[in-house]
Amino acid sequence: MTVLEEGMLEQLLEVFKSEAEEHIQRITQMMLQLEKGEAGEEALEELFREAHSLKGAARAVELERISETAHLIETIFSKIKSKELSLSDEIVELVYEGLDGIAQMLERGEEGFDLEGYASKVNGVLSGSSSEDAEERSITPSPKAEEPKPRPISERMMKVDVSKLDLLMERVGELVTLRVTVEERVKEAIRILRSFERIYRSIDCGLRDEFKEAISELRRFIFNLRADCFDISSLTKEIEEGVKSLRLQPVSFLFNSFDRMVRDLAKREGKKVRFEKAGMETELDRKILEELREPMAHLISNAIHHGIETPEERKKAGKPEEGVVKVAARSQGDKVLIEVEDDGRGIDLEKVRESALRSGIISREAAEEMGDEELLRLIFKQGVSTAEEVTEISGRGVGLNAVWDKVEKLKGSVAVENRPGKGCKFTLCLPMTIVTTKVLVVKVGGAMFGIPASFVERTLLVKPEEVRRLDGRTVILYEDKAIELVPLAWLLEMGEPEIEEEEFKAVIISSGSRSVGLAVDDLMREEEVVVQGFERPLLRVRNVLGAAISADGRIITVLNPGDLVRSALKRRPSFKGKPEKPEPKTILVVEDSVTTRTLERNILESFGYNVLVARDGAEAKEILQAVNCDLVVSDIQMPNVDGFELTAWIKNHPNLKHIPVILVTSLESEEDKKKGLEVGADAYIVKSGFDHEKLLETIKRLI
Amino acid sequence: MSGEAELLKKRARLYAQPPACSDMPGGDLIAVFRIGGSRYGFGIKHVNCIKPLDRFAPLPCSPPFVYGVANLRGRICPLIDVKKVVEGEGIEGKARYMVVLEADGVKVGVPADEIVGIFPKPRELKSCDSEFVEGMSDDGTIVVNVESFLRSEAIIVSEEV
Repeated sequence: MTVLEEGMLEQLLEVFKSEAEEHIQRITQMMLQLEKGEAGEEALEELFREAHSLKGAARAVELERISETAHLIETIFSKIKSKELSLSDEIVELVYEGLDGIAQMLERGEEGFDLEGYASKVNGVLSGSSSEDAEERSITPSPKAEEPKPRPISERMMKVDVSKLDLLMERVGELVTLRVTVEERVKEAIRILRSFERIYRSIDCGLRDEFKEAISELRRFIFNLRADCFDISSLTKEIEEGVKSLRLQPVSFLFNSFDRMVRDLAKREGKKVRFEKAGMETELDRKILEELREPMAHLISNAIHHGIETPEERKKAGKPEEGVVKVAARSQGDKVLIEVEDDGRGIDLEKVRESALRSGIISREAAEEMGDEELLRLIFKQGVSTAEEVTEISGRGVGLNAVWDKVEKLKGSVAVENRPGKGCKFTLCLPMTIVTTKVLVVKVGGAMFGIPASFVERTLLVKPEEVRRLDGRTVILYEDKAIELVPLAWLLEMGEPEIEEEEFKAVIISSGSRSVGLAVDDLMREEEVVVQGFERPLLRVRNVLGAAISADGRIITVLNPGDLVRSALKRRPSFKGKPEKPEPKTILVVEDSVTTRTLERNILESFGYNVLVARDGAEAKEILQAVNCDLVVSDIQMPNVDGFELTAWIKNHPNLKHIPVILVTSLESEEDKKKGLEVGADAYIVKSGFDHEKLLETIKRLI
Repeated sequence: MSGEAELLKKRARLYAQPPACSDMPGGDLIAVFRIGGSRYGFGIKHVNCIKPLDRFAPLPCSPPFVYGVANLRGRICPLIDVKKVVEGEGIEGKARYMVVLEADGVKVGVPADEIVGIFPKPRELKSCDSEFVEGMSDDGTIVVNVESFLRSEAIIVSEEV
């Protein structure tokens, strides 16, 4: 026998483990189908082959005890095939026992299973049918056993070690950070180039020509660099998406693994349960799938243990004897919703109330005041359980709390829908992939905070007259719903918010089924960051999920949307809105490029301005004479009448000269600036890309 | 081998030895910092590094002893105000340094105003009734037991909304 090198053997064992798990999974699957009568003779053939392959594979890596166990299972199947045995409950249990044994040995090493005990049990059963089985039970392969046909493996697929994918993912994460840094550097280089160009325009000596040449060379170089940088960016993005998609696995991997559990649990509790699965092809990051196993198992066992009634109870309640536990998955944008639903008795809110009182989580007064929805939320608290006694699977009062924690760690949320007497549905909302998180960066009290973008419904500019007071709460109307409005500074305990007299920016976030509006000082940008959770001693900080390091090295504190919503609905701060109602200001945008025009219009409108547009100075003149405008934002280079001419015309017009004019250009030039101010422009803005902060600031300053 | 080479080798071996603290008079070494109006000493084997405190952010909704979180080589490191924990009164204004303490896998930055120096740990310490202070030296330096400080329940933050 060849002695394998240690590293190689280790690798081989990993491969074997995943193969063995697949065999076990498939055998379980087919056994369940056979039991339900959904599969026929051909399934037996398959079962035999699966067990045989498992045996062979185990022998190849010298795991004799696993091989032998597989052999026993194989023998059972061969006897059933030859009709010497029938698929009785006893036999089914025996096969499962063997499979569990193999799983244990895979997990804990070969000593983890009483093979001898199992072998004598199997032989006991087999000897009832035939006497030659005892000698079949040998390590050498039976020459009679037919060689299994290899399963056709698609040539377009290959198996990859997951740890390699993880490493790749990590590297891609670093690449993404690096990409942002390089982009910043290029911007910086362009800024430096601009200052050289300014210097060039003001020097007046013999070296002017040489300097000019050097600058053009530098300009060519930097613009080539920028073009390369764009290419790298888009490639990085593609690689990132690609690696993320490599890690996607259909939820069937997870869902199928619960078949056994449902069957065993239902049997133990004497309940009839049909396990339904839907949306099996929905894909999720495998890491998330792995992390979901435990909370899902908990929800499913809860559904069977607490939810589904005994057949007698169900009959009495006029329900079919067989209860249904359903798991379903579906994607929604970049999120995946996973539901665990049962048609059992639902959650008894009175028991929740009692349990919460008993464990001292809430006071008696609070308990009595609590509405159904609030009570329902208590089931996620530590120490609350509706189970009368502690069982092996559920009812320890830590379960749902753990579910909540786990899902929260995955940056997801949990919602629960209770229909007393009819059933209960838990919905887990999870991101499809992990690693980087898009956050909306907001400014409050001079500090930057990130809100995970998947929880942001929208951002908006709130005018004082839109703020309403509704039984002591401050609300705004959003999509015909009254949404509670809270200053973020208050939620973050950064002092009392100032009384809002003017319009302000707000972010509407939603978690579960509830939304709140958060008033912030400023909306900065969206940024892709790697969110780092805190470590001991910071085990859990209220309203804060973790922190991220921004591309510029600054720390962004990443907020916990679920907590924020809870905090907001707990505290009831109020705004004092200004009573009178100011008209929205009207801005005329003059710009010959349709893209820029549309962009500026959208941005200004999103900040609550009325926007009119003109394609050139001539059109602008007509509009200005017909409509009252509060401000003009104009490009400089335009056909017919250019920005300078338009400005001069406005500033010399007796009725219009009070209107502030902002000249916007994409290229900075001292001469232009001077000329602009000479003709009477109130501001001259150099704008680059999509940075409109300066424009908005200037508009705010002027009107 | 020449006598000179032998001598140099011997010397190199001697220098390669870690300083045998326990054999020195006064026992282990402590790094001493001024934090507010007080002086704090930490066993140097628990001092991971000392860095200027330039990039940090305050942490909302946390107890007053949490000074914030800092960027420590790309990782987020919590900053704990040791003065606040021990004396009840915290550091005032912006600290200049962060002293990164590490024990049992727990890593925490402690903001400090000034680096005083490294000294042998005084043999005699006036006892203080604090679970993580070994005692106070004659010159008023509070010697912190870093291990129990970092494992202490007193600096754990675990709060639900």
